[in-house]
Amino acid sequence: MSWYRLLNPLPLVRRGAYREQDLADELSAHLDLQARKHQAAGLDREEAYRRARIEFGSFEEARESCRDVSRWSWLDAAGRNFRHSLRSLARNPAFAAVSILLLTFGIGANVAVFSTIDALFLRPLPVHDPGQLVEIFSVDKRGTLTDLFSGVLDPLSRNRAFSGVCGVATHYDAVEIDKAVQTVGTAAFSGTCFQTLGISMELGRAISPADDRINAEPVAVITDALWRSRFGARADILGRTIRIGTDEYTIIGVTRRPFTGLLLGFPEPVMIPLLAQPDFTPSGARPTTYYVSILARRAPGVSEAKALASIRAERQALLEESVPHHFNAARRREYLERSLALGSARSGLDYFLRRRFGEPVFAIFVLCAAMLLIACVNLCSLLLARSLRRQREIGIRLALGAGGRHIAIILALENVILVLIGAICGVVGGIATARLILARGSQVFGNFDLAVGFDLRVVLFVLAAVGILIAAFVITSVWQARRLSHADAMKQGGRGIIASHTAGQKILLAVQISLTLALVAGSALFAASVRNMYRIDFGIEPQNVWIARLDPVPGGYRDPAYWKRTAPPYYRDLLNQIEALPDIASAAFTDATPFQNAGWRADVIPLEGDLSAHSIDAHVIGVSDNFFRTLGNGIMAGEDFQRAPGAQQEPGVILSESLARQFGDTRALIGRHLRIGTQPDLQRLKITGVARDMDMDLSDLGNTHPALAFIDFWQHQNLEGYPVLLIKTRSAVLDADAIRRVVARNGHEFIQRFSAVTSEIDNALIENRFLAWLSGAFSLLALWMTAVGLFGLLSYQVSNCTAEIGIRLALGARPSQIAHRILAQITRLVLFGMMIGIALTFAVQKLLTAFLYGVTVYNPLILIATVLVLILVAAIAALIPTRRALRIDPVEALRHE
Amino acid sequence: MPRSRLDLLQGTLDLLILRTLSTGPKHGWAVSERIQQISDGVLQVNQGSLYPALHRLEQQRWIKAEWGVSELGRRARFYQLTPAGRRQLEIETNEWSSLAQAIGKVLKMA
Repeated sequence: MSWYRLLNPLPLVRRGAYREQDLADELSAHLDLQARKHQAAGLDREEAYRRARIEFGSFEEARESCRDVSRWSWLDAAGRNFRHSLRSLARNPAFAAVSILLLTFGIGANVAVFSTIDALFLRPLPVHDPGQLVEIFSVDKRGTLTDLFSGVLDPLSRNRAFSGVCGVATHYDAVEIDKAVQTVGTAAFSGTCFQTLGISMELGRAISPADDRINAEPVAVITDALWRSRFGARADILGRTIRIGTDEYTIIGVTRRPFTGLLLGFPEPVMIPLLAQPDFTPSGARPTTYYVSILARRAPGVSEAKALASIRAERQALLEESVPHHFNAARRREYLERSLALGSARSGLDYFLRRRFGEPVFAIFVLCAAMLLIACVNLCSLLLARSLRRQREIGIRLALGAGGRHIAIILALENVILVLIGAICGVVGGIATARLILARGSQVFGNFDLAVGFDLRVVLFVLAAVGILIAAFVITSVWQARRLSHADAMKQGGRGIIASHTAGQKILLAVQISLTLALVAGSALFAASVRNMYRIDFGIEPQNVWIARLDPVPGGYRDPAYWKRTAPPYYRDLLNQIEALPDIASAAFTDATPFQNAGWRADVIPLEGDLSAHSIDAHVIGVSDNFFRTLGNGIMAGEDFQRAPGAQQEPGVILSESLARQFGDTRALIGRHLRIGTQPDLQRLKITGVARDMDMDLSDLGNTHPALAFIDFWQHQNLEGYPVLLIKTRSAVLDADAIRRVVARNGHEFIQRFSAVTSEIDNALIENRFLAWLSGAFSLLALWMTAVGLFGLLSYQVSNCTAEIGIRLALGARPSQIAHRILAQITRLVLFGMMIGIALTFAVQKLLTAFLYGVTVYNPLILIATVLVLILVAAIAALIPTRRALRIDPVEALRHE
Repeated sequence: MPRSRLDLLQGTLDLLILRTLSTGPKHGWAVSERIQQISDGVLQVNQGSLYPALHRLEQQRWIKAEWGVSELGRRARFYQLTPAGRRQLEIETNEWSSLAQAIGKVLKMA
């Protein structure tokens, strides 16, 4: 013992190998001695050894028990079992590859969706104790959530329920850094923001209340990310300036990583004081109060409910103190009638990502979870089928003295190895896929930046998913091993009876069939509903129509007074210049991007006639002349707006057909007057035309004839937001550079990107299309898995019953009788699974309705088609094994072992 | 050949092995032969349980093993009692005697 210890530098590692050899030596020495004893008693050598072996009993069992005693036995056994499992998997590479692929898909899809959910909903803001932060907003009588004015900050900060308040306004601004212009997110923070939120600084100081005053020296704080990307992390960053609009801002600080801003998906690398923000809105006097998102930190021990109660108690005072002085009586009344609401701001503010993608992402999550469940059930049933085929191998192991526990460990270990490989591939692939999809989504939906990756929650999710899978497989293996160790496995080959020992597999298959049916039905519904969505008559002709937003170059609008004078003639000229370009059929301005936003909502109230008290809630959109022509819509009655200055005596309004109908005879309406909402310049408008109905808002597909009021772009140019240019080309190509050159030549604005109206429609329906695509892909996968499962079960049975079938055939059974026997049980199985599946489909219909348009779960055509598809798949799966059974030659079969 | 075979009670094999080894180092076969001889063939050690028992005792450090050469000139493992094993033998012997005595009393009285 001691000599090899001295020679062996790695006693622990090599000990296993030595022990195996030692044990063999020791036991065979025993055998020799016993045999010699028998020889001495007069037996010949061969007989002596035979008797010695009989007396000794199972050599393998003794070895096994000795191994169990060994201190390192678990390590040895683990290594041996691991090697054995790898060998066993390698013997059947197709099975291993398919299982790993299934698990990779299943786990990958779930990780991709969960990491997106994590980024959207779960990840907390990287500020001090984000759980205490709440967002405060107002709710108008339509139930729309709206921001409050910054005047509310002072009275709120006196409220004892909060230890601090912060008002934030976020914009996209063209910022000039080192002479290069770039559109970046900027956040205008009220003076108490940094302190309230507890944002850590990497360099310099934060924005203080002293910076947040009118006429204070303009200062800016930038994020670590911008400091590194645009300034190369230079140490002398403090004191440098950047230009936003007409103003130069001195950089006073850099925030610490990983803070990138408060708005989900839209980083704001530049932060400036609220009252020092550049004034882009061409609206006259510089405002002293802004619409802001309000974040507040709850005081210790104050619950959200308590905090809400305290702001509701002060509602009147809060609103009265914050209502802007320039509001007219009607707007003032509307503002004071709002109620207040509050929600957790733990994961920051949402611009539109959560609202837009929250529901679809959860629906996709359910889809992926169902997929993983099907894959798991499928693998369990494949494993059962496989172990049935391995009955003989396992029988031999049992005969050699391996325990049932050992068999279970070997079987379970194979599955665990499969799950782990699948999990690793799935996690890597899943995160990469999520990033790819989000990058694509970001291109489509205006450059949002949602970081997807590993954090504690994603890791926990992966561990939980993998844990559940491993548990399912281990339970299957244990069950299997127990059954096999009781079965008389050695005697089985080829002499079984149809349908023996496959109950477990059948149950799993029925479950799988039911889940697959639900998935296939769901994907058919999604596909039908997407087709319906594209059949909607939007009332426009979207072909060859292009959209471009005009953004101001820094200082492009100069000061508001100048811009108010300059804007109308500038836009008229611009439109004329663009229309003069070759290949342009017509062009128009609007303030609402078709299929992205539907304008703003307000009450439309006639001023004359019987209906003067009748108010109708409508969407208000500012449009220039040619808007209807550009979109291929037409004026039914009256006339379009006029481009030439002074052509119209009084400001006009064009109503959509369905809005006009609510006021009576459309033709009689022309020339009458109405007022819109509370804005002063919209209190007396002459109805100059009625346009055919058009729908450019797909968020409510139930209403394709919305009430729309179009106001004259040329008359009401002090609208918030930048104008959107619509262009109709004669051919299918747009010369974007020519238009960019025209806009740039005028020196006020620039165009970042053009998009086609058709692609805006695609984008508006993106979640529906994606759901249809994903569920379709998953359905195919599930159908394939079901087919493989059924195929495996039948093949096993046929090969197991070769002898029985042979005897039956020899005794004169007709092949059709044999086929009938095989097919009868698969039919029972499929029908049973389908019944559960249809019930399941009805059960999840509530979840689906939000994404379905013009089709319901109770659609008989889709259900029948789904059932037929499943029967077809089952029939194909049954084909090969049945044919194999029918080709059995009775003579061969009886010779079969 | 034994006249009648008795199955060894759980735990008694350990005691017998320890007692057998108390007279000097032996390899496994010798241990089983010795037990069989002394008991006049009544106690027959199942070889399948002898070696696990030897390994178990070794694990508990009551016996230790060394490689030596058997009567046949082959490599064989020789087991010998450790001081801890000697103490354990004493304890187990006492336990056994009191158990045997108690059982004997019950059988006589009842």
